[in-house]
Amino acid sequence: MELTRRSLLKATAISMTMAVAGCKKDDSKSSIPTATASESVEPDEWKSTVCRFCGTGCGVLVGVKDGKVVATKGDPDNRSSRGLNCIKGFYVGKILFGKDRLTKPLIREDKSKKGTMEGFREASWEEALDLVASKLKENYDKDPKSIAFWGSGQQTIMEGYASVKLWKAGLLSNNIDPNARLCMASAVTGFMSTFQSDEPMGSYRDLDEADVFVTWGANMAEMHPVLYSRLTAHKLSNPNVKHYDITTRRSRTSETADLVLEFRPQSDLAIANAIANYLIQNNLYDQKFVDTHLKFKAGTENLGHSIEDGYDATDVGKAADKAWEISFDEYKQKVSTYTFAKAEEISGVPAADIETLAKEFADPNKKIMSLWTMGMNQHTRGTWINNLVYNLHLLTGKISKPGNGPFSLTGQPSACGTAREVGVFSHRLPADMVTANPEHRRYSELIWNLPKGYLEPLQNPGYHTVKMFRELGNGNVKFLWSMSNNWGQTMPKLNRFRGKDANGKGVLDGFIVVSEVYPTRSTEMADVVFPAAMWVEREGQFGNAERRTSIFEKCTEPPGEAKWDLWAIVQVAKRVLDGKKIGDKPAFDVIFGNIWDYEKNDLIVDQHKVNGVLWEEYRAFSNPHESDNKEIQELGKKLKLKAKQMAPYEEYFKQHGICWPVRNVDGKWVETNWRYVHGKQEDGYDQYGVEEFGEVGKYKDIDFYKSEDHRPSVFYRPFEDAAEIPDKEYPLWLCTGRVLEHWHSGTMTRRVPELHRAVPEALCEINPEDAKILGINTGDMVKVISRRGEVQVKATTKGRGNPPKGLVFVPFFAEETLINLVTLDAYCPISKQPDYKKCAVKIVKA
Amino acid sequence: MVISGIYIETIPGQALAAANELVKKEGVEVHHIEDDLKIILTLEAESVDRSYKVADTFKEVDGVLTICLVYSNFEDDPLCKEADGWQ
Repeated sequence: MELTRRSLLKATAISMTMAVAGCKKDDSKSSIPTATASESVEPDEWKSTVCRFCGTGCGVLVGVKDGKVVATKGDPDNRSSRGLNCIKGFYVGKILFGKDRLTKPLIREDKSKKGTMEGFREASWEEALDLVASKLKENYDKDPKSIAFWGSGQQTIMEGYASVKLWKAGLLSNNIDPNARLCMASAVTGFMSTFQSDEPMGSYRDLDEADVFVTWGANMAEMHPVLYSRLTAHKLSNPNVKHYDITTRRSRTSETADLVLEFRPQSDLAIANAIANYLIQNNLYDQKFVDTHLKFKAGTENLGHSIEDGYDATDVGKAADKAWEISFDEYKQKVSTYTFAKAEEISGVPAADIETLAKEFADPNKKIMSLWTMGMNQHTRGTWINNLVYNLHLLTGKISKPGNGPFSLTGQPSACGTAREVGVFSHRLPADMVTANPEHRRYSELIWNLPKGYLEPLQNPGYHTVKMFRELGNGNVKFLWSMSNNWGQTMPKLNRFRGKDANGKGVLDGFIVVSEVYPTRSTEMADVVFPAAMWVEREGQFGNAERRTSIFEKCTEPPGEAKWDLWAIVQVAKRVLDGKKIGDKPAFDVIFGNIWDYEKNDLIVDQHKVNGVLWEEYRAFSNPHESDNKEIQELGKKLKLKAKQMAPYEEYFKQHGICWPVRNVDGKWVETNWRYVHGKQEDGYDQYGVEEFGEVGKYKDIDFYKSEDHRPSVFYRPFEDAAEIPDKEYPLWLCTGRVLEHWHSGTMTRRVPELHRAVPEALCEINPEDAKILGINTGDMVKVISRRGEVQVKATTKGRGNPPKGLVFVPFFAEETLINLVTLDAYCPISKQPDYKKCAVKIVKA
Repeated sequence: MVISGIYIETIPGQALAAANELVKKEGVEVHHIEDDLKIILTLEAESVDRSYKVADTFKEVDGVLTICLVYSNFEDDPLCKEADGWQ
C-alpha cells in the first residue's frame, strides 16, 4: 500500500515539475498517474494562496487534508511565478508549525521586566481588548497626537485598509505608518516626484525581453531567487544579453554579472549623473522622446542630514521636497560637471566601466531593465537616486515597453498592495491620494460616507516611522500598536528604541500593543500581546512588485486563541468609538457597520464575506464610474482614479492574481502589464488608460497620463555625501542586509530548524586584507562598534558576499545579534526612509 | 516520506554531467533532462529537515544555476504530525 502511495506521490511530483519547467516530452521512468489513481494520494483539496515571504508574490497551492496543511506546490496559474517557488516557498507550509506560537493574549503585569518576555500573564481576549481600547481612548482624549499605529507590508490588503480606516476616519489621526517606510519609501517618493504616480510601469515579463539588465544595489540571486532564475534563464538562452551589477559588496548576484561596478557607498548618485551627462554631451539621448514626453526639474540641495530629532522642522528639512521646473539647457549645464573622471574620483569605479554601461543606455537598439531594492532605497538620498535612475530611462525613452523599464523590486509580500495602495502612511489615503490635498480628502469622505470637511484635521502629515519612534522615546507618543512587524529588532539605532538610551525612556513608560504570531524582540517591549493568525490561517490578499494583487484562501484554523488581526482591529474600534458620533450616526456604524453582525455583536464570522465587503468598498476608490453618486463620478474622473482600477473580489480567485489597472473588456477583467503605453489591452498594454486619460498616437505610443502635463520629470540631483563617513576612530563602512534563507528579522524562518541550521548565526563578512591588518581570523568573535552601540558577532572572510576593503557586512535576521544597536537612524529628508547600508564602525577582537 | 519535485536549471550543456552528480545524493532520482539545460528530479527523505539538507547541497554541484521547488508533500514529516493537536 505504502509503495503504491509513494509511487503515486512521486509520479505526481514529476508531472507537476515537468509541466512547470516547460518540458516538452515525457520520458520519465515513473508513469504519470491517471486522474483516478492520483486522487488517492491527493490532499482533500488544493487551495490557492500566495507566498508570504518576499515581494515577488509567488503563487503557492496549499494541499489541505482533514483541515491540516500537508503539501504545497507552485501555482502554474499565477502569472508572476508560473509555478516556481524558491527555497523559502519550500518551507512556507512548515512555518505554521513552530512550537512557540503565541496562542493566548498576554498582559504585562511587571513593567520593570519590559525588554524581556517575563512579567506577562495570560488573559482573555475580552480583558485584553478592553484594556487596549481604554488606554487608546485615555491617551487620545488627553492628546490626539500621543497615539500611533505601526503597520506593515505583511498585513493583508484588507487588514491595512481597516487599520487606515480606523486611524484616519475613526480617530482622525495621521499617526499611522508602515514598516514599508523602512524598505520602500524612497521608491514611493521617487515615483511620485518623477511620475506623480506610484509603482513600476513595467512587468516581470520584462525579464524575458531585456537585452541588458542592471542591478542597482540589489542582491536578486538571494533576495528574489525566482525572478533571478527568470533573468538568468533569459540570459543563458540569449548569449548577447548582458548583466551589469552596481554594488558596494560583491554578492551571489555579482557572480553571474558580465561587469561589476563596485562603488564607494553613496556614490551611485555620481555614477548615474555621469551616465546622463555622457548621453547629453554626445547627443545620444532620444531627442524626440524628450521633446514629446518630458520636463526638467531641480530641487532643494545641501539637505544636510536628519540625525537630530528636530530636522524636519528646520528650514532645509521643511523645504527638502521642494522642486521647480528648469529648462533642458539648465539641466544640461548642471549635470555637465559629472564627467566619467569625476564619477571615478567619487565612486572608485573605473571611468571605462561607467562608460561601458553608459554606451548600453546610448544604444537605441538595446532594451534595458534596471532592477533595484534596498541599496537604492535605504539611502539618505534615496529619493534622489531613484529619480536619477528614472532619468536614464526617460532620456533614452527606454521605459513602459516590453524589456524596457526601471523596476523597483519590493522586499515584503504586500509593501505595494497594502502599505502603498491603501495608504498606510502618515501622509496618504487610498489609491495614490494624499491627505494634504483637499480634493483627495473629499473623495475619501464620499467613499467613507463622512460629512463634507470631516477629514480636514488630516491635512498635515502625522509621524513618519523614525519620528514616531523618536517621539515614543521622548515620551510624546504614549500609545503604540504595532502589527505584523518587528521594530524591536529592525529599527536603526536600537538602543534608543529599546529604551536604553536617555532619549528612549519613553519606550519603557509608553503603552505598547504588539500583534504577533511568535515571541519576538518587539513582544518583549509590549504591554499587551495579541496572538495573531498567520498566513493561510485567515483569508487575505497581497499586492506584489508588478502590481499583481493575489488572494490567499484560508486553509486551516489558527492555533489556540490566536485571531485574525482584522477581527482585533474591529473589536478595538467597537470599544474605542463607543459613544462617538459622525454626523447623527454612531461612529462605529459608519466606519465598520457593514462588516458587523449586530445580532451576534461581533465581526461577521465569514471571513470571505468580510473581505468581499471591504474589498468592494476599497474598490470604489478606483472605480468612480461605477458609483451612482454624481460627485464621486466627476471628482473621481478629475483625479484619474481609474488609473489604479481594481477588479471585483471574486475575479482574483478566478484568475489567481491580476495586475492593476484591471480593465473590463466586454465583461472580461483584463490586466495591464505596461502602463502608459497604448496597445491591445489583451496583450498587456494600457489601451483603456491611454484612451481615456491621454492621447493615442504620441511618440512611441506612450502618454504618461498620470504625470503633471503628461510629462514626467528628469531631475537634477547632485552628489551629496553620506550621513556618517568612516574616519580614524571608526574606519570602516557597515552595510546590513539579508541572506537567502532568512527573511527579515527571522521571526518565522528561524522557527524552521533546517533553515536555521543553513545559516545558524549572523556572520560579519570582512575583507581578508582588513582582517589581516586587524589580526582577525575566520571564526573569531569580534565586536562591531559605532558611536551608538556595539554587538558581538563571529567574523568571516569566506561569507556569502565579498565586501571590498574598508567595508563590513552583517545581516540583521538574528535576534541574538542585534546589529541595529550599531546602525544610524538618519533618513532621506524626502522619503523619511533610514539608511541601513552605511554608517561608520570599528572592529575589535572580542 | 516527504516527497518533493524539483526543477534544476544548469549552464547550457552541463545538465547531463550535473545530473550524474545529483543522482548520487541520498533520495534523489533524476527523471528527465531536457536540452542539456533542465533537470527534473524527485527527492525522498524522512522529513522536511532531511529534504532541505540534501537539496541544499545541490548548489555545490558544478553547472547548477537555479533550484526551484515545485511540489512538496510533507504529510509524514514528524513536526507536521506533532502539530495534529491544533492543526
